[in-house]
Amino acid sequence: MTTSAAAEPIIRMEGVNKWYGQFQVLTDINLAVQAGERIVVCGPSGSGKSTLIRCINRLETVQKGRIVVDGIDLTAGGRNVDAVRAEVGMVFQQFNLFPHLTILQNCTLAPMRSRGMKQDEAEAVAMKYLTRVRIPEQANKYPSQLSGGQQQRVAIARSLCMNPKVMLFDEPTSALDPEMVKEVLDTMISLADEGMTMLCVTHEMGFARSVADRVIFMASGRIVEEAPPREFFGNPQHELTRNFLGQILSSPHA
Amino acid sequence: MLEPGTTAPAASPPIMISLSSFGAAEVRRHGQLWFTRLAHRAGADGVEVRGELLSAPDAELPAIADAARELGLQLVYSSPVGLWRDDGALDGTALDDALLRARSLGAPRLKMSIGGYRPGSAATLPTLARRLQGEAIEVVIENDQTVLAGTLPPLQRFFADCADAGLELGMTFDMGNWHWVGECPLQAARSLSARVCYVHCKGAQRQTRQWVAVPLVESAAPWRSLLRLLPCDQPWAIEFPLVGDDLLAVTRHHIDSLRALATGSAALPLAA
Repeated sequence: MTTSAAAEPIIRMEGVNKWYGQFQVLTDINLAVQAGERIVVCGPSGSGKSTLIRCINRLETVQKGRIVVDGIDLTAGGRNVDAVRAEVGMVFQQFNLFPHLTILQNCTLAPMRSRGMKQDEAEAVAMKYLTRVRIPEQANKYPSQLSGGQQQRVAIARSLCMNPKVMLFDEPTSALDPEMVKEVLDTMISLADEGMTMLCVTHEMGFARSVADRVIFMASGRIVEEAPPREFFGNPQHELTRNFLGQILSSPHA
Repeated sequence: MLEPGTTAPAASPPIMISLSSFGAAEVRRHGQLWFTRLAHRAGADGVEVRGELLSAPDAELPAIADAARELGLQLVYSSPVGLWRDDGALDGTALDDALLRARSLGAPRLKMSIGGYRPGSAATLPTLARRLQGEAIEVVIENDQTVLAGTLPPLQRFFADCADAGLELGMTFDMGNWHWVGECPLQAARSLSARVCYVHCKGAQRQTRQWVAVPLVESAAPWRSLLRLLPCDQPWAIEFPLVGDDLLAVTRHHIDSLRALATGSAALPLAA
């Protein structure tokens, strides 16, 4: 990755705090992501990692702090949310495809509604990205006819149809059988290779090692440690990080 | 009519699919009825329905039964619960529940493991024999991936105890599971083949921290020798991951390959 030190980050989180009632789920989050950077966020269950990335396209609101995405201040409220969501794609653990729409319709819906694209143009774009994720032949099927791995690839293609500047992945392989994880990770790796800015919450440490520019470890709503993968895996500084890595790397699926 | 000097091709055993082969998350997502229909379209002779992957058994089992009847598929019901509890007591409730489900499915065969069977459990075999007397459903015992119910000595002892108690139970021989427990599958086949009435065709490969199930041709094990030791007229079931963008084609390929292997006309590789 080549970025100028002075370049404005595409994502900036400053002093972000979030509570669910009395429970503080994010504490003093400061994070700057440069365009083209690939970041993996990991941590134990309940550490706030999914909440963190969901704040970036305002699926979650924050009570304190500032979040700026591509120059748009999300915490200023109002119409900025729609503007940011047009630039930030998100892929969820459970795919979240519309079951009553075909794969092609799932992919053309947002570009037609949000970008005002005409149907034939939207379909051409959708077919381009379905080909990119290697399932153009599934275009006229419904999600229920596809495997989990295929549905997740559709979800990635659907996001790409909006031509996003940033892609957020929230545990994209967690709902898949082990045999299907690779097909989704391969798709994500190819995106990374093409320079997409990516934030990915995942327990796939092999992916983190080979793709991430930076690995962030969270616990109890805080960023505990962040480092390039070699440093993060080779010489973790914090005891919580070491414990987490010890557990996850000894699991058969790590 | 055969030409003089030629011999008739051997008949293939029924080729079944253990529905867990499609992946637990996938099966829970689509349901076992969906995969039963796919297995039929791919050319399977039957399916093994998995108890641990049922989410609404009362609705799913009769629906699969209807479909299997309509499609002419054979059925096996696989219970995830062992016949004996961890304390060595016969688990009559587990047996009754499993028989009930097998009946609801219309399956003539119920597959279970021996669970926590131990030497002291032999005293419960006459009880089991009485429960199974006149039962139309055949209970078959599988070697699983545990030391107590998947290694050779306890299984040998179990079948010997059964013989002493006048109880004749058949066996599901899982070709791959022996590797998980560090046993030699060839030795197991030599010892147990006379009881085998159902074969799980599963290759095994050692990865960094675990064994994984793979198609036979990708197996690190001597699967051809193993198959030669097992009866060739009993059903074979695929029990390795079936995955692919064209799942129907992948499944058909593996069924055709096993069938070709069984009839001795195997020109097809067993990997997709």
